[in-house]
Amino acid sequence: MKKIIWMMIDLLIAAVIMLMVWLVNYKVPHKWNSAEDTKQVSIEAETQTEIPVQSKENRQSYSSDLHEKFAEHFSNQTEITDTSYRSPDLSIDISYHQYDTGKLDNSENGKHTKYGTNISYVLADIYTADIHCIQTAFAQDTYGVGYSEKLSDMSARLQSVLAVNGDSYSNNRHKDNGTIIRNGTYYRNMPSDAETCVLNLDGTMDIYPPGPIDRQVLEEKRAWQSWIFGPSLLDDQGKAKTSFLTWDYIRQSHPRTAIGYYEPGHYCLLLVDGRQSASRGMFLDEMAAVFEQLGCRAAYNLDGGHCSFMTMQDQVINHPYKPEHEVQDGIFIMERSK
Amino acid sequence: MRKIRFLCMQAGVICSLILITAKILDWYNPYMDFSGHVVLAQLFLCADMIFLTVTFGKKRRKIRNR
Repeated sequence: MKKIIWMMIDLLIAAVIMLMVWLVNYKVPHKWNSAEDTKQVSIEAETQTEIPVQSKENRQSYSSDLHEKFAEHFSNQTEITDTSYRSPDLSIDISYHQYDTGKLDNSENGKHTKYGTNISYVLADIYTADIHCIQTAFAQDTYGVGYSEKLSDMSARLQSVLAVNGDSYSNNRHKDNGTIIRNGTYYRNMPSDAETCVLNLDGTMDIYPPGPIDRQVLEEKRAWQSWIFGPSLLDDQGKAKTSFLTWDYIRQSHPRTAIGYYEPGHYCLLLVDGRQSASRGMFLDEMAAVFEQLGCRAAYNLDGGHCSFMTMQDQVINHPYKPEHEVQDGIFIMERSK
Repeated sequence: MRKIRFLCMQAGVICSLILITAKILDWYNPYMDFSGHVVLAQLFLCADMIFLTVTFGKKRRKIRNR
């Protein structure tokens, strides 16, 4: 009897310690210094290259190119419906899709089989004449750990048209936790064991393999946003990959969020519902196949599970399996003047 | 000494439970790096086991000498 009591006490103490570790390291909000802050501190120590600011002429030339190229998608005045948005710089079309894969998810000892074989997803087709319309934001406008906010609240705060969750950048607590660039600001530039997706100001999207990324290369390419979650879903020819650089849990079927790239100025955001009978969630190869069919040249998986939300005009437009909960960051498609 | 040994054994069990839990959580999301955040438990477990082994050896020698 005494042994059992001691075992229970051990269990309790271990649980309390783990709870404390989780609360202190992951839940109690604390700000992180961005790479720019660090740069200011050590500015005398080394010669730093300036972050190139896109010149007005360049910005205008990119913008006018894309305006002409995608003229048919834009409108002179803002037009809003439940599933579309048109303005002089932005065009968004939302479409809902559902199909039966005929394939059960037997992983985790059949825990997911109850969700069946159906999949439903929301696709946002986006044309923009200005890459500045693709913004990102941290929860509570703070770069750090322990900060979270509902996507719909963030969307309302930023007055965005369309929003999806991001890569939950602060979940990665390894020392080498990758490169984070948001709206042109470098928050960290560390090596990583995951692929990094970078959106450049000229509208191109690059996916970097694991390892360090040379900041000078990023600066030369005018990196505008970067995400570190992954994996990438398409190969260099735009074909669906069959093996993915990620861990086993992510390979199971899940609710998912992903970004696709067709060409500069043309992107898509994919939001897959999951963990419910109407939609079990997607495997990575299924999502890669969707992007291949769409004709994307690159596609990148963002954080999923209970973080997968898409909002249009501040309303959640996908069907999450639980009520909206708070996320750490998001991608916001918005008018550049906002 | 017996009390200290007993407490060290319990501490060993606690550290083991913490490390197993961290491993399981990291399987779901390795980015969270729970294992990296409970490194102290790992070090303590090592020291604890060395202490217990040494004191257990001493105890056995005492019994044998009797």
